[in-house]
Amino acid sequence: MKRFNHFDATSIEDAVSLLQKHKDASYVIAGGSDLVGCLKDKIWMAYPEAIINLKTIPGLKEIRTDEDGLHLGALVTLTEIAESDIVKKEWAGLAEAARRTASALLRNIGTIAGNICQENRCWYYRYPNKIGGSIDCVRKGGKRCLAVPGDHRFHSIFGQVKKCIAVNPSDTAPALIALNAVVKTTTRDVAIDAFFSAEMGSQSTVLDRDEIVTEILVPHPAPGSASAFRKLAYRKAIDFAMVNCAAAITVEGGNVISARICLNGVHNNPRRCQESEALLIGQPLTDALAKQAGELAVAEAKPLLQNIYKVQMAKTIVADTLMDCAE
Amino acid sequence: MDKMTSVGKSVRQKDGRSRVTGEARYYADFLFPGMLHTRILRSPYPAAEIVSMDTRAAEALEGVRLVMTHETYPKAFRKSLYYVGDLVAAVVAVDETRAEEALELIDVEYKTRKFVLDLEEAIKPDSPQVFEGEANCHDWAFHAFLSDRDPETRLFKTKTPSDYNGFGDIDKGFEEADVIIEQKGLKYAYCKGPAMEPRGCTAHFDGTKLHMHTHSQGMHDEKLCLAQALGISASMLNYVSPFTGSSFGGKNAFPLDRNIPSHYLLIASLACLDLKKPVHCGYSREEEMVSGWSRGSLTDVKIGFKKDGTLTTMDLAHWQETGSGGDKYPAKNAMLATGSVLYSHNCQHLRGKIHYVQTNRFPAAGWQGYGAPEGVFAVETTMDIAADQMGMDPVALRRKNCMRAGDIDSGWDALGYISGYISSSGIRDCLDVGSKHLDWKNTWEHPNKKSGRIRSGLGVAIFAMGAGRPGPGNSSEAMIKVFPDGSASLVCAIADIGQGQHTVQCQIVAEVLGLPYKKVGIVCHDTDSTPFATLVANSCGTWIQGWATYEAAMDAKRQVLDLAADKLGVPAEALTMGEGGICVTESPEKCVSFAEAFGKRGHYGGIHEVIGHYVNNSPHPNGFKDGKKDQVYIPKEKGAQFISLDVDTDTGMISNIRVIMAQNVGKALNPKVVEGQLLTSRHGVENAVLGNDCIVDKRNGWLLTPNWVDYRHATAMDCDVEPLVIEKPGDPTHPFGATACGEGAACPSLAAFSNAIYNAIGVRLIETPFTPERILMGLGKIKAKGRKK
Amino acid sequence: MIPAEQQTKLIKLTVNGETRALSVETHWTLSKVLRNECGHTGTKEACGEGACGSCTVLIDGVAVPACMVLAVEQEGKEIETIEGLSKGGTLHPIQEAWLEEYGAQCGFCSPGMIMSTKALLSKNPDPTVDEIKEAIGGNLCICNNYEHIINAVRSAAKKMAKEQGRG
Repeated sequence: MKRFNHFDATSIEDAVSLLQKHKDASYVIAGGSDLVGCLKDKIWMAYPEAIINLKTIPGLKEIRTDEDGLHLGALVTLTEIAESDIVKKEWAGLAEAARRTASALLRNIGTIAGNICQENRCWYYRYPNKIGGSIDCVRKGGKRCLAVPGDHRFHSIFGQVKKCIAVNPSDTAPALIALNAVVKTTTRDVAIDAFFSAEMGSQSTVLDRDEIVTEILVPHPAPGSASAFRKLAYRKAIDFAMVNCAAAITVEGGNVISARICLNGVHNNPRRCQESEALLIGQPLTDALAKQAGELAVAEAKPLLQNIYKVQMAKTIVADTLMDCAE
Repeated sequence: MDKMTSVGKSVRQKDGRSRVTGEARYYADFLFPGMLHTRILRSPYPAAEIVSMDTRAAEALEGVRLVMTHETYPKAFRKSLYYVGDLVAAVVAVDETRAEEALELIDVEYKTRKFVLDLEEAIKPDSPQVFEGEANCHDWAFHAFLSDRDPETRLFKTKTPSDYNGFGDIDKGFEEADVIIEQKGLKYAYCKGPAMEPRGCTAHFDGTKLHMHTHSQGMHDEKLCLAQALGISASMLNYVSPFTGSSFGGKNAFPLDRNIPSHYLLIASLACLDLKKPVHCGYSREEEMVSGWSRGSLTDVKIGFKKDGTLTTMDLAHWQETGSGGDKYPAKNAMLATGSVLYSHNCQHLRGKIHYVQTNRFPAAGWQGYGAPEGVFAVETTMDIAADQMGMDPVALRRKNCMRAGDIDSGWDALGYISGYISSSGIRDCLDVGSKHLDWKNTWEHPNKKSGRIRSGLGVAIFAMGAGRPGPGNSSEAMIKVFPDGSASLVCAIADIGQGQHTVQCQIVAEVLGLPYKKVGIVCHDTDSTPFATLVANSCGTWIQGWATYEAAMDAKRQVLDLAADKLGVPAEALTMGEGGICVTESPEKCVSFAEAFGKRGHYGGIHEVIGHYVNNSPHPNGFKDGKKDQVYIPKEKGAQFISLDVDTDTGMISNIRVIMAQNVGKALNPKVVEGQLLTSRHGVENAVLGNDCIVDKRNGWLLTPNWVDYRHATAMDCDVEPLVIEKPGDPTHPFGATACGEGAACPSLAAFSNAIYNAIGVRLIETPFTPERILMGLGKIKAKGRKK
Repeated sequence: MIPAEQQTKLIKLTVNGETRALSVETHWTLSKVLRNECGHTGTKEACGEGACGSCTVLIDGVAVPACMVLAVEQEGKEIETIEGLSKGGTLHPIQEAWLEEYGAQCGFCSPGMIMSTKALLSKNPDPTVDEIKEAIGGNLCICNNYEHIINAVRSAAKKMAKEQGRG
């Protein structure tokens, strides 16, 4: 790692003003499990001038519930979410997503805000500086995405955003989308559906350069609701998902009255499966219907040569996650 | 030795305490005042020439002490680069940060060359050459045909250079076969040789001598090699390696060969000698990931059988990747899986053509099994295909044909002997115990009887692995010191890289001397204080060092008994040595303590320690059949592995993996140590089903998995391994009847997995890794290549 | 050029009960500081990105990969490393269990694995095998000694329960 200036923010306002002061070359650090890796590998075009620590800001580590729902402070760790009895009971899909993220050790430092703001894991984008120099892919000003003609076995099966086919790697993002969360930032409340945007540079969200996530609000599920999360990865720990899926279903009188389903690891942004959701409404959730929903979820898939298998995985995992909700 | 007190017991690891307290010092834990740090600039291209370099800005940076390039240090750097990550230059500075900053200031102009990144491409005649003027594909240099079999001894008497390894008449063999099974294109992916501790070293010059602190599998071999490479006398170099954070063969250093990834030794030594300051040169994980790959093979197998399943003829063609000029010797070990060893029992006709192939990928190094796993994968997968086609039980087919004690190992290696006797086998016992453990008879079902989304499969594979070679170059020595207080020290250089040799060798000493294990210490941390020991490779430590340790202890014991005999006035043969001293066997009340046996001592004389010594210039005399020098016993590591798993036919994912590893070890000198060795079977699981492969960008040669997120080692959560240790007595090559145990666990897994997957879903996978993509394609759930409609 | 004012900071760390003031560069990781500045080389580094657990230490009782946290951010924290486990030459029950069950082969993962175990057992004194596997899921043992390690954790749990019972 190279040197940088390090600031302990004393308040959210302080953190924002530090970001504004160091306009282009500053990053905030929460748990650091993503950022420190980026710094060590020097993957960015410009090495940051300032790192701004959020952990010194009081009040960002709280889990609480009220009539609005579950409030997760930005710095709540994934371990805290995974082990919270209240989350496990009411927002099971989120607890499971947190539990399946990375490893026990990384969950102890990784935060919920960090997990939804993390950068993609494309192996071209993240190629380390230490063995020949980092790679100028399309996200770093290069002309073309190198994964398209190169190795894209883990890349997008739903096309590209600004020529890039990296996928969003988060496990908690699809769970929060299925649970219809709201991301509260220093300037606004963003519906989770509108939060992810792999439009530019290294960012994976709509956050402005000087905007910081402060809290995530997950509304109470309606009576008769259930949520679930599934992940397909080579290893049961450490790995990012080849494909993951979260779903939240509300059933009334034996029929589905609301459904939110989200796949991740399949596109630059987490991908809501709205056609599949619409299919379920008004029907009892059966194995056959879940399979149909799975098929619909990949109807628009445009896999590349090496990742056709992910389409098969995606449709299966959608059906399986739905059936988990039915249990 | 009817009742043993140390050997055969799971005594605690000799140096275990320091391993669990953090006191164990691995090379990076030696911190010296004023120590300088190194960072290495590495090639962005898979094949390039350095046209020019400008290091002035780097040299001018504050804190930089030395910039090393091919111009200033041609021993460590080359002008030509052969893989992405090849060494371009190094900066030595006061700390890593300054060194890293200086690297960015080095300006290099490269001229790129054409390159090849694939074994099959590299074999083609018009392929770009990795090394200019040299074909990429080489025939094994020691191919030999064996003939002139002695009817009485069954040994071959004549060895003739040939263009293949073998015996008999291959054409006749297939002509006379009732069933011929052929499988081409079996591919074992090129994989990264693993080790917890990345490569590196710290060199320290004390004014007289260069002390090289590093990990090691054989301090003395590496020291002699490094001294020669540096051009300094061996007496000026002390190699220090008290602990090694695992190696599995991969970290064996050989700085004389510029293609073997042990450059850190030269960089640190040269900088240290020039700057007269301690210099640390440690590889980051990313740098480690471009150093020392292994496996990587392509094999065609053809086997001829009689109607009853008797294997009479075998033909094997094998190509092994070495990356950019790495270790070329593993290729030969594919022969172990053939009629040369594993199927020697019935095989009459054998042909094995061995090749090694250079590419512009990362240089190869040894790894547990050293080429044997690739051969076993190819042959044992084909044997399963054969069992299926002949309608035979896979266990029964192997039981019928596998090697047995006394079968002939037919000289596949470049050794002094022509052929020899396999000293023990027990594979059939391993098959029996493993089958029983899994209730194979009742649980094994043909795949066409299976249905449903999740399907279970059982697979089996057997293996034979070399276990050190009786012959020159495999000598080891031991010195035993017995002290007047009745304790003893073993002085020897055998490396403990996790396999437990320090513990087991001390157990041997304790057993021979009749002392409690806790009274035996070990001196093993550097070359200055120890006599020569060959590197721990080929799982040879147990018997090559074992004989030296045993005989040295016997030597010391004889001397102590002689001293006691003198004092007690009885012949030495009438005495027994034990914790309390030396007693007359028939009248145990008549004793002398060790101190009494040693006699008076002081500043001006007396015996202060008794030293036993032995040089095992193998083979040990017991390694000859009936003492005949032309009839050598060759030990083998051997056993059977069973795999049980579930395949999800909708996702292609494999789960509920159980690995049952059954191995005949002759005598488990320390059962827990032996179990631990069998647990290393997980490396096979990694290679089989965790998606590991040498994934490089085909247009640029970049390694796309240069870290432990993208390159996957097994976690505690990925499978269960059940070790079944079988002790079949009677192996003559070890003082306690033990045979090797270590590398075998790496050999059978890939075939056992291929066989288990076939057994689950009826899809035969012949290319590793067995990914969900390959499984789904095999099942027809997705279409191969081309866009989904 | 980066102005240097925020690149070195003085922090107070309590390592194994001993509080010390350290001048650290802001980009130094905790594992680097523990190893190089405090001399606690029992904390190993193997992957440098939190994917192997060799560098596991406890920060305020929580097991973390020390190679992924910045030392400068640990002001005022209680750090526990492998060196702090045995007291007055007496091994901790987890270390005893490790020796009995042959939990270490090459030993490079042992310090981290043991620290993860300590964190697990302080939260969950009687873990199931699956809970043990999950707790050490981020600690790689390249010798693949997991069955022995799991036995060691179970045995340590028993030992500690016994000690608690006595105390």
